[in-house]
Amino acid sequence: MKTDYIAGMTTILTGIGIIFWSYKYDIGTLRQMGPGYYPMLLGYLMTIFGIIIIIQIRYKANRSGKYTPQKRSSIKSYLRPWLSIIAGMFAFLALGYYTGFLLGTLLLITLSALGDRETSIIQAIFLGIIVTAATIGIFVYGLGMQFPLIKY
Amino acid sequence: MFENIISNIALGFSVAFSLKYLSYAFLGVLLGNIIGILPGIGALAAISMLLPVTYGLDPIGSLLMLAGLYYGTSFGGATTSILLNLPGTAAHAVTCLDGNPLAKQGKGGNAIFIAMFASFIGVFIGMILMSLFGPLLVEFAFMFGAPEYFVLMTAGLLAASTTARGSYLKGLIGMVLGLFLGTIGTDINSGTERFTAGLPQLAEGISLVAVAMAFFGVNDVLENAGHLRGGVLTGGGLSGRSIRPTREEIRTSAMPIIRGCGLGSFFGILPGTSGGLASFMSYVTEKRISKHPEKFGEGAIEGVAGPEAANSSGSITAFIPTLTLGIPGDAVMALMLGALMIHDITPGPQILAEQPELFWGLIVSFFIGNVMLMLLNIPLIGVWVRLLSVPYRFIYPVVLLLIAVGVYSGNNSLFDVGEVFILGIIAVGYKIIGIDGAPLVLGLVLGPLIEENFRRALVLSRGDVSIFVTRPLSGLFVFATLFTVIFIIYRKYRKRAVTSSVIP
Repeated sequence: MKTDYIAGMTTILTGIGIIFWSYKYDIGTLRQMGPGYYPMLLGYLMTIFGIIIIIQIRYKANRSGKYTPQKRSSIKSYLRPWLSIIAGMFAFLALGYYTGFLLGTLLLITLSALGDRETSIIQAIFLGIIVTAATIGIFVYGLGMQFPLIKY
Repeated sequence: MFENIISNIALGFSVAFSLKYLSYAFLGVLLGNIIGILPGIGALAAISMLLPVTYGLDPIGSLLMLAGLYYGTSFGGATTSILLNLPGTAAHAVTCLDGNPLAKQGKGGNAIFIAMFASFIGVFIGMILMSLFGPLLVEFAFMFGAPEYFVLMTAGLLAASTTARGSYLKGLIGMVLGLFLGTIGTDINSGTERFTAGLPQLAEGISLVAVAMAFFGVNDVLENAGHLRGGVLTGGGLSGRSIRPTREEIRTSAMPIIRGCGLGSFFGILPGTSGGLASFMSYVTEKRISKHPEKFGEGAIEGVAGPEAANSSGSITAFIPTLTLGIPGDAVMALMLGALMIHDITPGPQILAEQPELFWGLIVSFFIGNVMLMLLNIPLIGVWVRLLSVPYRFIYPVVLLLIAVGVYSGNNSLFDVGEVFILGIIAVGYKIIGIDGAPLVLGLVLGPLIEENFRRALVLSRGDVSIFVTRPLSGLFVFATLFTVIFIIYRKYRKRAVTSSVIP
């Protein structure tokens, strides 16, 4: 029930946000639709759906066949994987932008691999090196894709 | 009429069946397959990358190679969809829905084989249908105007939202979100930049591949990283049995494949519709017809066979408007069209008359391409499947990298990669509250088209909304859609009434 509530509220807020944002663009009339008309309609649609979800919570009280995501482990168990993956992603973007893809790839793999508690630092670094080498071999030389590998 | 068809096909075979041409086709298939495995790089990227290679070849040769590429990438996309839950293209997002659960149950090899087989049959039947009904269907397509397109696509979306793994309402919300994401970018009619918050990189809109990768790939990784022990495949050894499907699976797939071909051929003909729609419609149809709809999403082989067949037959019939009218069905067709024009061939109604050997040669080459694909991949399926017994903790970083590379290569833009990562994180949030990715992706794909047709229809009718009902074809669709939707809701309420009266 709580997820439905959050879902409904998020949807309503998003819908209202869209409606307001659409008004920044010319709405026009049905005859001559401006760029804002269609998004505005979508915003209304969303808001309505969100309201329906909230209303439905009342009537769903007895249903047991609701879709529930699989049993989620504790939040703590997601901490390590997520932090490492996000770190890896940022490293890829930042390093890729400033220093080229070589370092970016290496760090993406190494950092995100550390997300799993069974992977040791050495294993992660090893994986990083192998995959980076393979990537360069296959993508840059094999397929000829354009990746600036090292930027000065 | 039959001798005509047979002589046409014979003409095609005589053209395509030379060693030189066969090797072009093979090369195309091979390259396409490899590239297709990479998530995010679909037929579009592959064809644009390898188009220059075909400049030196004669028209038929280059078409053969391009066709091989097309199928190779399509198949590679199906493989990654099933094994890694990474759709190669939007059209393969559907294959993930049941293909991936099958892989997790150790039946990945079966799923891939069936997908391949379904594609093959799809091409074959598409070929036949095209020969028989080509001219007729083109006429039918002419009857479609903006209102019809709008209603048809909306109906498709509404139907596709039922595939969401959760309540229908949340599926609809995902769809509307997708539609909204589709409006981000420059509006064609007015040139205004919508919802871009001043970021120039968003002027082209949100990359579809980025969204698909985010909701299927990154999402998956974030959900499973650190929690999946051992390899992705938990069951199933690598004996021949897990590679070839069981007799029962083949039997169950037969009708879905046939239905998929029908649906795919129909949707492929309509110029301007994307391949994704056909496969979604097939999935929805199969789920509705099935005696065990709960199985869908958990590994129902019909959910793989039908959509793949639809995809493939649609891709063949999509060539009809491209070749005979010069109107490409989607971006890939547009590229093929460009390739033809580079070789001095102007597609149009005269093609059938003036250069029949090209037309039929092409059709036959699709067939050959697919045969090669099967031959090439049957031994390889074992390899792909074995790759996945590598522990997941090593796989998922590579998956992240593949996603990054795939998305980057679309526009040579790191911004796109950033999009995927951030959207992926948001996607997890949405998954938690029950909003699924599949309707969203379809909404994103069809959104711009829907809006354009909506506006066009209203311009046609000068602001009169009733045009959707007063035009006969469109009115028919509206009626059918309303009927179906009301029927669905009605059935849901009946079920609820029944179960709540049973609960003490």
